[in-house]
Amino acid sequence: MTILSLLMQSKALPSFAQPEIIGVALFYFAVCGGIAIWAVRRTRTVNDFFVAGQGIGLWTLAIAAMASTLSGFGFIGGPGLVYSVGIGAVFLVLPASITNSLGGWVLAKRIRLLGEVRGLITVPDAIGARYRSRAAQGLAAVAILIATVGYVATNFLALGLIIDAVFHSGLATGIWIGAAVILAYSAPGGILAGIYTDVFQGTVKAFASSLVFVTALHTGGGMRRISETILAADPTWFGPWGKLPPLAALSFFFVFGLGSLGQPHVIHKFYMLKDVRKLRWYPLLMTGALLLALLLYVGVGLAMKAAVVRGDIAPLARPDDATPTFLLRFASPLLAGIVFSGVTAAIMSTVNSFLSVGAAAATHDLPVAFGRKLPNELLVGRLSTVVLTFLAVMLALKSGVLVALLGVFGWGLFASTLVPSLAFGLCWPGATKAGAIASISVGLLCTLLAETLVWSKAYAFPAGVTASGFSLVLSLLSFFVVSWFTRSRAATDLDPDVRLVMEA
Amino acid sequence: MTSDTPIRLALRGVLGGLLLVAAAYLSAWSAGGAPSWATWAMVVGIALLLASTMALGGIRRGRSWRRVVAAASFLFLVLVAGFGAALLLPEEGANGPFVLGLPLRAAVILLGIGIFPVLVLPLAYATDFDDSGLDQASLARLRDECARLRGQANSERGE
Repeated sequence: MTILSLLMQSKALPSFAQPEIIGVALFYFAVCGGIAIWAVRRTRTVNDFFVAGQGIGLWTLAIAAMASTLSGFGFIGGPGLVYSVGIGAVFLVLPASITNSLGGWVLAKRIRLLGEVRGLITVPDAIGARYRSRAAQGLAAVAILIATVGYVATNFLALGLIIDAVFHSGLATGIWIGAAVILAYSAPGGILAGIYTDVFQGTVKAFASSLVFVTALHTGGGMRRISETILAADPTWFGPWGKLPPLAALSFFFVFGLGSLGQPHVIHKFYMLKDVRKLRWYPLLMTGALLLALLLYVGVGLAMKAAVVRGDIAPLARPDDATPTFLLRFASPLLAGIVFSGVTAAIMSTVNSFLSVGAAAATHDLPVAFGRKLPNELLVGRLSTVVLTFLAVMLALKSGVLVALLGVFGWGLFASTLVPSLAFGLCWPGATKAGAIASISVGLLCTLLAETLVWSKAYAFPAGVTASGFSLVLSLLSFFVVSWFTRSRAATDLDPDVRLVMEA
Repeated sequence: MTSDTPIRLALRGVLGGLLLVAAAYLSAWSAGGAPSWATWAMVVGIALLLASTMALGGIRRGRSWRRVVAAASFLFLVLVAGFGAALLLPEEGANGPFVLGLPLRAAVILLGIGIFPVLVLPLAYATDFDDSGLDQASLARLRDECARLRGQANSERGE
C-alpha cells in the first residue's frame, strides 16, 4: 500500500440527490461564484495572479492555507481509513499539531522576506535564489509540474464523483462541470480569486467538520460508550497503532510530519502576506483551523465503527462509504448538504492552489531555468492554467491506470524534492548547489521509480516501509552527503543578501 | 562556545535522527521483518529529526536561541514519551482505563501527541518571534542593503 494511493477518491459514492442537499450545494456554488467575481475584478498584474498582490492578512493566510492543505480525502477517504484500520489511520494527520510551528520556525519568515527583497513569486524561485542556480530552480519546477498534474487530476475525479452523487450528472459530466467552475475563477483571477474563495471554503470545512463531530459523539452515546463498545469487540482497532504495524504508523508520521515542509501550495502562500510581523500568530491560527477541520476525520470513523459493532448498521461494503453512510443514516439533510459542500470546498480549494503553483512553474520557473523571461506572464499564466486544467481533466476522464499512477506521486514527490533543498537549505549556510541538485534529482527519480514499482505490483516494500518515506530518506542523505563533499563551494553558492535574510 | 555551535549541534541532531530512521527502514529488509529495536529507532529518530529541524530553523546567529531550543526539547520529550508509552503500556480491557472517554494508549496518541503540543508550540513560536527590524522602514532598509550586497557580490564575480 502506498501512502498516496490512500489519498484518492476513485469509486462512485451513494446517491445524495435530495432537495435540501441540492439546495445547499447550489447556494454554496453561488457564494463561491460571487466571491470569485469580486476577486477576479481585482486581478490586474502578474503579482496579483501569482501572489495575491502580496496583500493578504493573517486570518486569510491561515484559513486559506488550511483549506488548500486538506483535500477531499480528509472528509471521505480519511474517515473510511479510520473505520477500516483504526487509530493507525490518524497518524496521517497526527503531525498537524506540530507541523505549522515547525514550518513557522523553518520557512515562514525566510520565505516571506526573500519574496520581499528579491521580488520572488514562486517556490522554485526561492531555490534558485538560495543556490544561485537556474538548474535547481528548473528541476524543482519539473517536480512540481509532475506532482501538480497528478494531484489535480485525482481531485477532478473526486469532484466529478461528488457532483454525480448530488446531481446525478454522470461522472464525465460531473468532472467537466467541476473543472469549469474552478477554471472560471482560477484562470482569470489566479491565486487572488482562489485565496478569497479558500477563506469561504475553509470556513465551511471547519464548520461542517465541527458539526459532524458533535453529531458523531451524540450518535454513539458519548466517547466513553463508543470506546467501550469498540474495545469489547475489536481491541486492536483501538490500540495506539490500530491495525497497522507500529513501524508503518510511525512511517506515516515521519512522511507527513517532515514532508509538510515541502508542500508548495502552503509555502507559496507565505509570499502573499502583507505584513511579515503577523507571522507571529500564524502557527496558532493555522493549527487551530486545521484541527477543527480534522474533527470529522476522527469522529465519523469512530462513530461508524461503533455503529457497526453495535449492529445498528451492516458492515460497510467499502471504507469510503463511511462518511456518506453516516450522513444518510444519522445526519439531517441540511447537515449532509453542508458536509458535501465542505467536501466540494476541500477539493476546489486544493485544486485552485495547485493550478496556481503549477501555472507559475510552467510560466515563470521553466523559462527562467533556460535563461528567459516571458513577455506577458499574466496572459501566459492564465493560458497555462487553462492548459493544466484541460490536461488534468483528460487524465481524470481516462480514469484508472494513468490518473491513479500520477495521483500517488503528489505528497511524496513534493517532500523528497523540496524538503532538503528548500527547508534545510534556507536554515543551513553549509548547503551547496550540488547538494540541492543531487537531492532534487534523487527525490524525483526515486519517488517516480519506487511509487511506479509499488503501484504496478512489480515490487513490494517490506512491512512498515513506504515508497515516500524511503525516497525522502534517500534525498535527504544525498543532500547532506553531496553538500559535505562540495563544502568548499558553500560560501560562493550563497549570495550575501540571501544570507542576511536567512539570519534575519 | 562559538556562535556556530548551536547550529552545528542542531545539524548533528538532524543527521543523527535521519540515520536512525534510515536504520529502522533498512532493518525491515532483514529476514523475519523489522526487529523490535527498529520501532524504538524510528521513535527516537523521528523525535530527534523533527526537534533538531525546529532548532535549526529557529537558531539565528547573534540572537538568543534558548527559547527555540526549549521548544525543540519539549517536542523531543513529548514524542519519545508519547510513542514510548504507547509501546510500553499494557493493553486495555473493555473497562479501561479511560482518559476523557478514550482508552489510555489511544488517548496518549490522540491527546498527548495530537493535541498537547498545540497548547505549547504555537505560543512558544509567538514568544520567540522576533519582529524587531520588520516595520516598513526597516524592511525598506533591508531591501536596500540586500540590493547593495547583491550588486557588490555580482561586481566581484564580474557578472
